[in-house]
Amino acid sequence: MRRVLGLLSSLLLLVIAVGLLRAWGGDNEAGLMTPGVLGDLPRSPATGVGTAALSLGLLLVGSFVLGEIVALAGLPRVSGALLFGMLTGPNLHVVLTPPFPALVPQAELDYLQFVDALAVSLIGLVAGGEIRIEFLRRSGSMLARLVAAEMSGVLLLVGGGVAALSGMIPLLSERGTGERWYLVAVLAAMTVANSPAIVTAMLRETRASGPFAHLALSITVVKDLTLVIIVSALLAAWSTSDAGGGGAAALGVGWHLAGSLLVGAVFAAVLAAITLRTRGRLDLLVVVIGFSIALAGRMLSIAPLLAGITAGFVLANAAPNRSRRLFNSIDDLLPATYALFFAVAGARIGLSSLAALWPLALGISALRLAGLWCGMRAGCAWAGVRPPVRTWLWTSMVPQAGVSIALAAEARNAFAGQPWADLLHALLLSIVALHEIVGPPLLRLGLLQCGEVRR
Amino acid sequence: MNALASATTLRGLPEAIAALAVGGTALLLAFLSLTRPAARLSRWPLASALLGGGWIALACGVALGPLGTGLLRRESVAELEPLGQMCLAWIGLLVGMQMKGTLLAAVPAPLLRWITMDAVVSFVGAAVVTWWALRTAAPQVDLRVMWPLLAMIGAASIGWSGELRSLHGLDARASSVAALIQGGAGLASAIAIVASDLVTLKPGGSASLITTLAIAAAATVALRSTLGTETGNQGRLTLALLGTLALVAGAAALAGASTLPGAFLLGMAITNLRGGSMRRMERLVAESEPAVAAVFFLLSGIILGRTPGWWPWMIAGGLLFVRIVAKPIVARIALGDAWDQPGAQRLRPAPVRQAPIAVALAVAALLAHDTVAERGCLLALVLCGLGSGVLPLLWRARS
Repeated sequence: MRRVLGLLSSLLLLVIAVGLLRAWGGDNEAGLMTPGVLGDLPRSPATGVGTAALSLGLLLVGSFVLGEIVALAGLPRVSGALLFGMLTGPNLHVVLTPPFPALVPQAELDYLQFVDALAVSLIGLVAGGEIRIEFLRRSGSMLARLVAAEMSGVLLLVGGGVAALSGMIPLLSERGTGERWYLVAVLAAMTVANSPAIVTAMLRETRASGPFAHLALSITVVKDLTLVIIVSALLAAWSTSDAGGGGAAALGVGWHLAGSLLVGAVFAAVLAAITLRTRGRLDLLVVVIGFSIALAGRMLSIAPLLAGITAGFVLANAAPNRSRRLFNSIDDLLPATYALFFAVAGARIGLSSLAALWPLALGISALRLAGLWCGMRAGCAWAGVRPPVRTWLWTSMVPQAGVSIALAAEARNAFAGQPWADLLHALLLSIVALHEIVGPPLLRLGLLQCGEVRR
Repeated sequence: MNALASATTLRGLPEAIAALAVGGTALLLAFLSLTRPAARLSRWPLASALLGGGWIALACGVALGPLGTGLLRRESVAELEPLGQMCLAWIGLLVGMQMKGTLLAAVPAPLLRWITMDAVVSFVGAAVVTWWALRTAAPQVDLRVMWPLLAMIGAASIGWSGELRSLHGLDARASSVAALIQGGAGLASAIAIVASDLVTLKPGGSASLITTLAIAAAATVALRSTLGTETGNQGRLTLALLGTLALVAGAAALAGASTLPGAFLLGMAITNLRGGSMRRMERLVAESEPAVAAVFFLLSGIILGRTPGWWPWMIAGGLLFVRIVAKPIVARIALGDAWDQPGAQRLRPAPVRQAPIAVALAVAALLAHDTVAERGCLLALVLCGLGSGVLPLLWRARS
């Protein structure tokens, strides 16, 4: 109790200090330097760049402290980071009255999304490094059955439920039959996604190891790949009907997938060469590689997560001994990576849209959970998975985060100009927000029930 | 997953090439600093001076930035500002971490005398040289307006090259000149940070400095109570440390103050607080020094811009002159017979070499206020640092 009070007062002190600083602002002209002695330079840094370090620091330290508090209450640290992001992010500031200074303003959050891409690359590396080729060979058909059953369960229940109630959903009731069915398909496909980042983070946090952990991560990665193809095909179908650009869209989708795999393999080769010829710790190298993957993602229009997973997978399986030192170095950076990634994800949760759309989001979430449960139970029976993993494996598919948010953003871009595009985006984000909050505790419960938690 | 719909179109090719060039260079530097050949290379005096002083990293930065190939444009450079602030915070932390009560109490009297004399002579000498050069470039500007720049360059000229945390080496060999030079380098870095921030302080600026120091104090309390006596988890220590440094750097940026004093205070607090976590954090910061130095000098090279006129070169020449002439004389007066001891002769050029903190002070000034004058001062200090690093080597080779 004393420790909790100490942590809470530290957190409060920190938030008040940053809040006061934000409220009073800084008088830069009254700072240490005089106006340019020899003339000022034209300078136009992107908004939010100069003070982005304050948001970065607040999110890291705050997530760390709140993570400790929720861990003492038996909840995952990831939930602490998400909660802190939600509490300090710009979305809460918007709904608060009277106005309170945004602790993490939108402009700085936008800037931090590039650092966020670094986190995604590292998470991908770790997730890929956890998957062994022997496991895939041995359990390939089991994985295929589980993925197929789980995806079918969600698609059927969410798709069927939404289609049945489409007359009562404003987003769908005003559409023509074709467009309505198309939107139902998009909505159902989007809800299939779960979060490789949360799964990896939870497995690391609990040091879980065993059939549940292996299956959870492998299903997540395989499903992620499959989902990219499905969603890409759906969006490409829209582009084809809308502008006749089917060939270009298919080419884009092909490059997105193949490019990610190719870039990941190249990074794996570079990392293998470097780890062979170097000694000592590789922390800086890991950060540089993470940034490079993030940059490649931005510049070449590939998926950093997919490239990271490929690099980690190739490295861990092609050079298992050589890569151990590299993965040990990543381990030391992971708490900071997770804290930042989940705090930024929490800060991006649209609280105002959640407040408006919660009944619909809650209904679709209930359908998703039911679909996950049914699909996974059926899949486990089909694939011969034994209890208690059979009973609890569905919990690992509940969390949603970065991939789902990115897919929602892609959908908004693809449907830009449509009157319902923003509403669909807000609805998807509201569903993600709900699963982002309930997912980590459920996954922890599943791991505990299967006896795979080591701390 | 970030661009499904727009996957067919690549971003602008120059932007992609620039980004890949920066990433590639950073990767190469990180690779070079870790390889066995690099360790062997550092046994050569010239290579050691260039690698240890961060000049190779700086040269790479210059090659990529607006002064070199121009691959990185001014807008891209501005995007790197938070990274620069973080590096500065790390440097301030390193310097602050040697301000341990027991170590400071053990500083021998000759070293205190030497450092005091060096600080006064270097500050005044460098300020006069800078004033002379700036007067030729802008005769209309009066001394009051120039004062912050003069004070920054003056403070940057205090001390000499050595590891930023070299005060730790004093306790065992305090009597030898080598130990005094090593310890003095660390102590001088601390004096330079304090001098730079106190001497340039204006009535309006004190609030900014106090705000930054208050945030640093709050961060220290949070850090201490969160980590407690934890000694096991390096990853959680890294998270706490990175977060605290970012907080201090960001608070300084928002308040319009320099990043260095807040981080310096944080370092002092960490080193003087008891507890296993604090010891481990100290080790973590010390171990990461080469890597952070490489990134910092790379960034310094990138932000080094073109400055109209010859006045930065004049300042650099003047500073070099002050270092070559005044520093050995001050050492001779302060240390007396110890300076003439057998074996000390080889160490005489040591105080001539400019301290790495000089470039950090100039970068801090530039990040707080980016003008032609600050850019020129950074260029001058880089030139002086390079000259003062290479000249003693040439002198030694000739003799």
